[in-house]
Amino acid sequence: MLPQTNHYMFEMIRSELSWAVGDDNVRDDDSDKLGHSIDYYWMPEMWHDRNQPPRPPDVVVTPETAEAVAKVLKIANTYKIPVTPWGGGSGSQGGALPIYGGISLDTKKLNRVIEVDEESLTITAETGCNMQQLEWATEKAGFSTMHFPASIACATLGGFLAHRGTGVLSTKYGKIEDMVMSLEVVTPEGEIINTLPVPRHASGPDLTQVYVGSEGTLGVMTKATLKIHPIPESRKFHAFLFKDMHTAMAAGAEIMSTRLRPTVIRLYDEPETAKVIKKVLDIDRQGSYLVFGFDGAEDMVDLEMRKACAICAKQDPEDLGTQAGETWWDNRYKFFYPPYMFQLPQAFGTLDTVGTFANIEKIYWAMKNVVEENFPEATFIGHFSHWYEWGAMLYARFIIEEPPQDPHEVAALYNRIWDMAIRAAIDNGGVINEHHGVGLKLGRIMPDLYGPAFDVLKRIKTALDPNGIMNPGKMGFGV
Amino acid sequence: MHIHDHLDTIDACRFCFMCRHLDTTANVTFREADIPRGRALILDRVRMNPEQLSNSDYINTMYDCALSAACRQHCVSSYDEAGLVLAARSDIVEAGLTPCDVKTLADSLVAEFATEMTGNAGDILYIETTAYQAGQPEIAAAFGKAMAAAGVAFRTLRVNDTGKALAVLGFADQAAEAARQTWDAITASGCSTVVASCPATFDAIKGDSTGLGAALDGLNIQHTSTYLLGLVTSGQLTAKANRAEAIYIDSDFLRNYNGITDEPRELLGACGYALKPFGTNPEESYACGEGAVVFARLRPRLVELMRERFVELMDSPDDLIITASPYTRHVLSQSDGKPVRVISIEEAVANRL
Repeated sequence: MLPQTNHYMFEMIRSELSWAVGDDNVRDDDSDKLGHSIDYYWMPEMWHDRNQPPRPPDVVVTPETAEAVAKVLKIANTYKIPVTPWGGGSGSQGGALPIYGGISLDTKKLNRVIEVDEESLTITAETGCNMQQLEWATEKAGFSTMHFPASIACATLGGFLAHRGTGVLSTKYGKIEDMVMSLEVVTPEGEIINTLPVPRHASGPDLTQVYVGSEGTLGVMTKATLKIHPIPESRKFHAFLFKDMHTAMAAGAEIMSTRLRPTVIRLYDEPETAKVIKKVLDIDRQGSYLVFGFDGAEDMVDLEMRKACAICAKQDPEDLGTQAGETWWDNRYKFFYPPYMFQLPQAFGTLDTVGTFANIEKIYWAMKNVVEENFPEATFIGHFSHWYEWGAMLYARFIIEEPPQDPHEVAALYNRIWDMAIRAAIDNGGVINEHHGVGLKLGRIMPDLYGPAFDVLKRIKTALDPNGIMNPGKMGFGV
Repeated sequence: MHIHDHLDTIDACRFCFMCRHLDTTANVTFREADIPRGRALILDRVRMNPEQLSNSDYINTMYDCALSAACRQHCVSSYDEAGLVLAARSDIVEAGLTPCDVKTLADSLVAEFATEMTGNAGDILYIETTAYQAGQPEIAAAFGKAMAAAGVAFRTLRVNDTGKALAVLGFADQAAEAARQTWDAITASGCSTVVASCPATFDAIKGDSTGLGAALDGLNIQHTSTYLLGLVTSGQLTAKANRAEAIYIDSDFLRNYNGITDEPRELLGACGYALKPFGTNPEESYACGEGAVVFARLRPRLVELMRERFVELMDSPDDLIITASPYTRHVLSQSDGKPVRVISIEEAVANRL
């Protein structure tokens, strides 16, 4: 970490940073440091709620160019100062927390849209762009990124790339790792590099995908080229209420295995249908709510919609019609605003994972059983948000309405639930996470997930970041 | 503490990022402290540790807020983050922690307070608020031209601050006194219809009068855009029908505080203006700090950044900008380089007579 702020050495280093990026871009006031000490991870939120002092960065640095990022990283290497990249700070895994102090490298001033290539349908932008602002700029040019996560208003492009984010329409348009064409990256030692301009090639391993998902541990992504898409002529939704999650899952899996191309399928288990769908959409019914949508040319949308509805009808669900589907789409972000989102004093977490169709229900039941049997004070709910040709993503949650007040006691309880639930997922063919990332929250489980292969990741980390300055303490890489 | 009246907002906003993209200050500073979540986090710490109210960094952050209320407008639950910031400012002032620059500005508003009535005919009282309008006599002149064309007599009350500026700075007592004197002048005029060009003044008279101790029951209070639209639709005012493209910039006080979005556009449409959208979205405030009333005097550097952002978002430097806010007109016309072609909505109407 940096020397104490009351030591002249702090001023020596701050002067060097200021020379590199400008006085206005090096801040250490209490307002900024507080904002950077808490992200969207429940743990620091709880810590703040219990009036415990957060661990702030020593300085917040806001470079405006990749060259300035490179200068900052070179200075950090010189003095071995931790550097934690920060985009929107809306990650739920603690990945952006400066847990060892040092520099919080805020990328939001890297916010220029460089080019919209209307021939190739790509957009090139700096990674500090707020995703909603980037989407609006893309729409103004007549296209869409088709990346519509709940955090679209909060997060930066770089944040999504850093933790392999996804959006509501991922089932057709892919996750961010499917959308990215190429990257500009500042390496931990301050070299600016570019990955290959196209994502499909036979020119060696895919360097772009080495950095995507690296959560700021291998460098700082400063520019990205993404695919963009025409605005579809039509987009339609339809909703059903199945008697239970199993029959709904059968319908969803058949839609995917027949290779229809829905933009989205979302399937809520019975408890979440009762708890959340009722609260947000005011649909107060027993069963499992499933909504799907298609977009594109209207006649093709209608054809796919008919075929998907016919698949669902085999399970004899209640047909809620198109309006219930449209209502869900119109309210897709409402779930994440207060008071609809879970919030303190509740203890809650999103136990998201992904598995094949052969495994995903086993994973669901293993996680649900381990939570409910070991933590009777917790409620377990879940939905399946992002679907693939081979499987689906489970967005499970646990909620404890009245957790212990003592911050250490509740932190231990919280971590115990995660440890047991995620390991239950891994034991049944799941993984640590599907689109929120690893961060601080789940780093300790990475060696269990990867086994001997984790050593390969660690050696890559050591080779690229020999001084270990980049986001220490995250992703299981230690310090 | 006044912030205790807003605990629901602190609880809701302290960990919520959902309106980050719309904070007028944060969109030029990019600071985490400058979004509603950042401010609510600070005030949550103050709630738990009242002595931290004296933290000068926290205090400055509260006064950096542009109070556009775009975030409240966006929030699906309409949590009143702007109200929370105003409460914090009141707490700061009452605790004797007012920063020097804020104190100096408030003192000057109090010292400059004056009311002046001109004209002596008609049932319409037009209020010109000099501190908010930064001079700009063209606006009152354009309103006068429209009224003359419609054959409607009116009186003018010129006042420095209706109390709104002092109120947003956190000086409740001084604001109430300025408001009382303003209301006395309004009442003394005997007019039953009050019209204001400045949306902050309109909001003060329409929205704050009761809170500041005045009783203005029975008065018909309108912004000029609504009033002039009435003249046009009643046939009293006829505009030339030649078409011209223009961009209308919403006022924070009209849109985000009073829900008035259609009337200005209808008025401009009736005057032959074909309106184009501005920027990339209809939610963001482009009013350059209007919600903080005297922000250009309090935070000139931030307002300069807001003006630069506005210019960057313009499709063409030749676009004609029409604003219902004299404050915004003033800021946009301060260009160092090629000036923005900006006129008030009153001028837009007068130009078509």
